[in-house]
Amino acid sequence: MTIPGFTGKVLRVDLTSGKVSVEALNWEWAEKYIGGRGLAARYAWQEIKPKCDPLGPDNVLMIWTGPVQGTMVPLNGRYLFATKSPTAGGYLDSYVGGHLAPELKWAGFDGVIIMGKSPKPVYLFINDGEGEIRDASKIWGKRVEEAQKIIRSDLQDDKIRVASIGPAGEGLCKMACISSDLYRQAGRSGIGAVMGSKNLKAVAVRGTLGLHVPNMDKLVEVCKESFKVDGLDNPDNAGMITDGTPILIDMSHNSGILPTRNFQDGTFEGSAGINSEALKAKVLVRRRACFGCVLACASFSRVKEGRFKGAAVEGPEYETLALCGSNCGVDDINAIVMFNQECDMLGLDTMSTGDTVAYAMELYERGILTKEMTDGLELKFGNLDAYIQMPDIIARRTGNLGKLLGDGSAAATKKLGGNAYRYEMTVKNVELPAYDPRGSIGMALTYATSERGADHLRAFPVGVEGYGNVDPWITEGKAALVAEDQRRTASKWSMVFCDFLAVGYPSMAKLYNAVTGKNVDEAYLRHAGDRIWNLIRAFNVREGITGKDDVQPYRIANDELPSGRTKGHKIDDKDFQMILKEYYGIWNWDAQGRPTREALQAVELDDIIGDLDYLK
Amino acid sequence: MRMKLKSDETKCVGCLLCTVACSAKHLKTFNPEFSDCAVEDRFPEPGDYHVHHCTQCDEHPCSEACPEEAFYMDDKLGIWRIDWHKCSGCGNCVEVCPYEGCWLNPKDKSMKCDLCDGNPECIQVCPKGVYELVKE
Repeated sequence: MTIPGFTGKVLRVDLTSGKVSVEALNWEWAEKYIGGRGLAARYAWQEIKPKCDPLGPDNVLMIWTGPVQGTMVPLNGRYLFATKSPTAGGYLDSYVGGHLAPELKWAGFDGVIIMGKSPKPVYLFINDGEGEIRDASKIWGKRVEEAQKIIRSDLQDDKIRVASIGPAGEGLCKMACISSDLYRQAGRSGIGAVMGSKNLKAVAVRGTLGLHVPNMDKLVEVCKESFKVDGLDNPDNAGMITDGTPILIDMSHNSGILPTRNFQDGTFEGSAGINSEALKAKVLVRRRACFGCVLACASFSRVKEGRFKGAAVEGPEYETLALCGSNCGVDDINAIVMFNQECDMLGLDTMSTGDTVAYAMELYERGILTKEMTDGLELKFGNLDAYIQMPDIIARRTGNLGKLLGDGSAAATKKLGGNAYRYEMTVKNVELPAYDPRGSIGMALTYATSERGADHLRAFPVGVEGYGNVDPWITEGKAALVAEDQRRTASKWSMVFCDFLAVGYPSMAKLYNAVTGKNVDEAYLRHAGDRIWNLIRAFNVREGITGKDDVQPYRIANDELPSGRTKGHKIDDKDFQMILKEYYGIWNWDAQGRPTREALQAVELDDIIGDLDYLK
Repeated sequence: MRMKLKSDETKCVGCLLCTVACSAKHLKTFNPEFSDCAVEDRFPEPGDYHVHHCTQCDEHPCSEACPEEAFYMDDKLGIWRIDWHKCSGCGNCVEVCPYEGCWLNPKDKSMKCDLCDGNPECIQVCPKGVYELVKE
């Protein structure tokens, strides 16, 4: 069996022995799990030894694409890294755009499986059907932009696409990301630390083989229609085309869910300094697109004047503007561009870093962190002198403060003890995205049940609760809303589409069929989504992560928001527990949040039941 | 009558759809290496895109420099095209082109825009209106 769209080849790299080999894609899994997320999860189930140390040699780091990457299908320019999470402790996949995904397909591979640990720093070069482990002694310790420059010069090819960690990943910082094409980040849950733990600095890719499917003319015709219907002419995309994600700053502020001063407020008096209008007026240079994207939502920005002059970045995106802006009490977009640039080039996730800096600022203002513990820094909300130093301090674990914060908010809480936990904004040790659940109870359930920690890309009920017409505080229907969206994203991320491709199941099926020549329908993709969501939950249960870990942060349950639309709101634990219980029922999981035998059998996961002790 | 392809690279966002549409049309493959247009991504400095393609210029030094006489006039469109059966991959055309409008692909054949018989794919797929077909 083969499926058009896939190259049919997987590169396997054993960093311990230095052996590189090419193997056939598991076609049965490619069919059953679509690609991307589903395929990565099934390989993870097989490849990752249960209960292994996420930062030890037994963990496996994988790169995956799906059937549509490298074709002309709109908004396909994404790929994912998958591994066992060093923070949440379960299955972790982290997605990234740019131009590396098609390059990998054109180099002849659907995926890469990286095992073991290299005895010395190396990088992986993938080129037209082959892989080579190369010495990285010249780039270890370098910032991301420098690493890319040296690799391209070393290999004498400026077209090479590079995904690299920075000093943060090398130092196993649990907020480390992998930066791809400099400005695109596989950001969440500390995936950059896994790469660092393997002594792997970068993955460099060059492909000139291209990709062909049997019915090219038909596919091109379907794509041209999709560019318009699902892309340019779709009203859901209007804001993405004109503004990109920064448009959400005003929307969140007006809805009272804009994280402000470590989630102490849901509105920010300085929001006009960090919103889309400020970005366009002060720093925007031009719009950029990932491969195959007709929207071009990204802003390439450069600071034009003042103390941060010259700082440049693709962004800042909404999450960065909010978590590194309002959440840190910062209303200066120039400072945020500088902070964003430093995070990208040091290899830090701006979301977790922004939240952790905000957390430390609150602890300092409350006297839990003393000036001695901050090495003399006046770590107050909005103090740019302190703020701007934080990425470097965290990435390099400099001084008392760097040592305290280098592994993120949850690790800092453990070191501090006392009442610090009341101000820590995480679920499963991963910092919250920029949608305060106190104005969207569905987001509380989403954050609690996302496999890789607090996450807005597994379900997005805030779209209708925070920005739409659904009452954000009633519990009725919210468990079903979240479950339905988790099913949808499991399917959509398996095709590795961008979030902003406005497609439902029928359009996804049309594009999938045009590439693969198959004839699947909506029911098929929904069912695959159910299978993938259950498989990932089972992975976490196998690691000991169950309902006890599906929680909400202390503040969300106990502190009322003080202003705006959400004034006076918190999420009572009894409401939260009620929708959580209902949610487990929808998935047919047991009271501990574990998939039942029947739930797994209903989605043809019989082959993993034997690996689950609780079902024996 | 002569047709020309013009581009306004200030509108380019670097999606590369023009390149894969071009290779799909001509060679039934998605592969920018075999495209008659190319987009150079120049970030962070100067922070722009540089779009390359044949402009069907008046001088056509490419055809003059070709030792194999691989270039021929397409009377319908009024443009110089290349016959790959004759192209030896010497690269003379690439060297003499003042506009960086042609180049050698990995199989050492000169890549030069043929305007898709008057209905260029790049124009059809570009979401930002970078390309324009001009009749003179």
